[in-house]
Amino acid sequence: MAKTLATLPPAQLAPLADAYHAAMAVKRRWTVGGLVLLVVLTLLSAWAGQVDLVKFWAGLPRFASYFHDIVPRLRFETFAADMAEWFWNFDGWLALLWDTLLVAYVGTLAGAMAGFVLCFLASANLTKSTPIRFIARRSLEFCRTFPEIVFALMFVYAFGFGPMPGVLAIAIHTAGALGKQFSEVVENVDMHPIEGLTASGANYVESIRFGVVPQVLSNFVSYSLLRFEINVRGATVLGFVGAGGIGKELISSIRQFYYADVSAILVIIIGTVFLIDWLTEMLRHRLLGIVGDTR
Amino acid sequence: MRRRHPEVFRAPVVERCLSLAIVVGGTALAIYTLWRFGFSPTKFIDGLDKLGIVVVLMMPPDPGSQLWHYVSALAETLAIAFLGTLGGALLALPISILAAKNVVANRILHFASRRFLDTIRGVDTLIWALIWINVVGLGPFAGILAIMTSDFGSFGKLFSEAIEASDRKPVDGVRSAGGSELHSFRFGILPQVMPVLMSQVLYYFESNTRSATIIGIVGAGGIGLYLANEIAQAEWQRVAFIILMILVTVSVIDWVSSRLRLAMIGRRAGAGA
Amino acid sequence: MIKRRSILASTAGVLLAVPFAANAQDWKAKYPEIVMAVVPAENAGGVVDRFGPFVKYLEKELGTKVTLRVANDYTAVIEGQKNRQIHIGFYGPGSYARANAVSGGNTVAFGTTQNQDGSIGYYSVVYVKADSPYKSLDDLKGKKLGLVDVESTSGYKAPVFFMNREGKAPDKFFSVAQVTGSHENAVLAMTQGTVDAATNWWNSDTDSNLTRMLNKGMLKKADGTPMKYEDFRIVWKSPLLAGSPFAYLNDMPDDLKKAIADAFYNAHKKDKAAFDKLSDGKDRAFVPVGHKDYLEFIELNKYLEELRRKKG
Repeated sequence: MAKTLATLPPAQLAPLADAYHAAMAVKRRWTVGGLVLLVVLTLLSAWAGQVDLVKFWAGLPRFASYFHDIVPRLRFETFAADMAEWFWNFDGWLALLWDTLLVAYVGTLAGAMAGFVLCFLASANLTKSTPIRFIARRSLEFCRTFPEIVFALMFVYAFGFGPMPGVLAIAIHTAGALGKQFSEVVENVDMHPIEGLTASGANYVESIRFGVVPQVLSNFVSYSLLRFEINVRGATVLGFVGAGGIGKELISSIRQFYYADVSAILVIIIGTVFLIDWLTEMLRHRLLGIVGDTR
Repeated sequence: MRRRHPEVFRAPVVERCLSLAIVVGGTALAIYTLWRFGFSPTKFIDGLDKLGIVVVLMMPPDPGSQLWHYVSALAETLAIAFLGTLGGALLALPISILAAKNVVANRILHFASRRFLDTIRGVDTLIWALIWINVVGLGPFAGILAIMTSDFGSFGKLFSEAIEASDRKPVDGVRSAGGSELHSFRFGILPQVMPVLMSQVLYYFESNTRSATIIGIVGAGGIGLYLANEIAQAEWQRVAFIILMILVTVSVIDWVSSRLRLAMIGRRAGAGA
Repeated sequence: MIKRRSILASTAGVLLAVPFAANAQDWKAKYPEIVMAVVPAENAGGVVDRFGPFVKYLEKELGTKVTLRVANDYTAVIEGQKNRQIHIGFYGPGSYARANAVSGGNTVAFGTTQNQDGSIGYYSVVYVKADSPYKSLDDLKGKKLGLVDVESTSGYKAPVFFMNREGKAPDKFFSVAQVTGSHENAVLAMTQGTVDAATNWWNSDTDSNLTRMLNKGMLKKADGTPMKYEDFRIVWKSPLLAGSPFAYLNDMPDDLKKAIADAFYNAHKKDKAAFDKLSDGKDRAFVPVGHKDYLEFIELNKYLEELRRKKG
């Protein structure tokens, strides 16, 4: 290899090289330490989680055969008829899917509104009172970290089976998640318009309404759309605990070994998620005007 | 001032009509949904009342005789979350490279791998749990595989986007010093994206702890099964205790994860969603 | 719940351990452990208590390790036996028919219980609370029904089948027809007010899931006082259903199958205490049955599938 770069004279090079090696040694020690810790945790978890590689290997053919079982026979000659047979309940499932989407929609809407109200109270730049901020933040955190499905189970107990428990569970979780994301956006906002408004006599609500909201609205809507997509997936699963919709039908088909129905419903669910993913991404690009911010 | 800059004070008619239409349409849909779901204020109040009674019955949280079971089940849940996240991240890395436009130029490969990842992501973790239970039987192993699978899809997408968003200059630098394709990735892209990737993995670990508690309900191990049973039997004090355990665990993980992420990226970027 | 954890742990241990030296019967080398699983008629802790002594009896009779695996839903047992991870399964007649079909005929019934009065079989009933205004199934129109599990015979298949024949298809007749996961959960949902009525299995006024729950003290009123049998009312009962069968894997060696079957048929003589624990003393013995005794349930499953298709 020809010398393409000039090198320093040894006297200057030596201390720099030493410093570099010392820094690398420290970094290496951290990395090795971290890796050792990782390995130890992995082994502990494997023991606690009853990981059995023998069983996994023996069971892999079943994984493949499961997918083989649920995919129906689609022949080229009778393609239309085979598809009609596979999706025999297409309109029924679509109706259930519509229910699920409605659950996700109202849940996201209610959660976004609640999060909107709370986020200002949780923002350090708008709420000077530390106790209020603390309470607002802890409440949002509680709503966010409490498993959604546990809310759903408790709401089923309180409100009975049906879609409402699912809506409420999603709404609360969304309020927590969006509330936090909203407050982070608000904390990064330009304070000048707010100062200007306060200086000309606006009160707390007015300064927020005219100073903050215009700056953050498109961000808020963008986060809400993303949350809607996540909530559609969540709503399909809540059907499992009695919130109705297409999740209930999927679980029912899995449990009764109606294999072709399982794949048909999965295809519908995945297709819907694709569609919503694509639609919300389009909307969010228009709102944010930048490419790529997806989480 | 209003006369000079009317457009600042009054948005154009088309835009306002559109906003109005969206608001009206959205509200109408919401009202229709509530009607369709049989929502009524009286039922809602009754339910809240019942919920209030439940909250009172929950005090004080008390595991009764089940404390050791809950603790070991929680350990199982953490194990499921840990291995699932780790496995998913490790498996996702190779495919995220394929799915990144700037590393692999082949458009078809990029599109195919992206759609593949989307398909895996489209299936909820709970459904994956049911499928894996068929393969390896009931128990936490199925739970680990379920989380690994759904994380594989999510990480694949996130990692590939991080790679696509990385700066070309270090890559060019390595290339001009004579490095190969592999060198340019290892020394050009990887150091840039590694902090972001680790940050995402840590964030997901916390989120997966919550998912892991849930999949226990279908028998994929962990504390979810106990939780569902105690709710069915209306043992509210035990329910409250389990919930408290879960919240504390998630908080601890959240705190540890934030500290680690801070150390890696720095204040601003570390305060992730 | 303790037992379940240690049972699963010891299962892993045994499966990885080397099987012991060959005995007189050579099936023991191939089957160092026999796994038995039970559909969740009741919740997990109850299953372990109920079947524990019987499992020990089987171990003594077969001379090999027998493990009880607790499942949270019917499908897990059906799937487990299909995958040959479970050797002996206990089903309702309808879930047995499903298990047989799904396993290509490898899951075969061999025994069922005989009631004290010599009869074989049981009923599906619909309970309501005695203080509710519902006196018959018609009164429940538009109300909420709690079912058990989509594969439960008395908790789903029989009610759906017979109610459809009466012109009251559950998913149309009731405002909500929701599976609750187990017979116990269905009753609990009813006492808690989440549903207005619950399907359940029933042998007689002194032998049903309800009586077992009352004996365990599981049912309490809002103020904490225990409930009594009189606090419940039956508003619907099905015709007699075939007895719930135990089934083994047909491709096991004949001498193993015979050993298992004999152990069951002789249980009431050889270990009465363990046998009685299974049914709180309400059963007389295990009697032989075969697949042919459940052909009508194969038909039932087919009919229910067609019913489902007609709706769509």
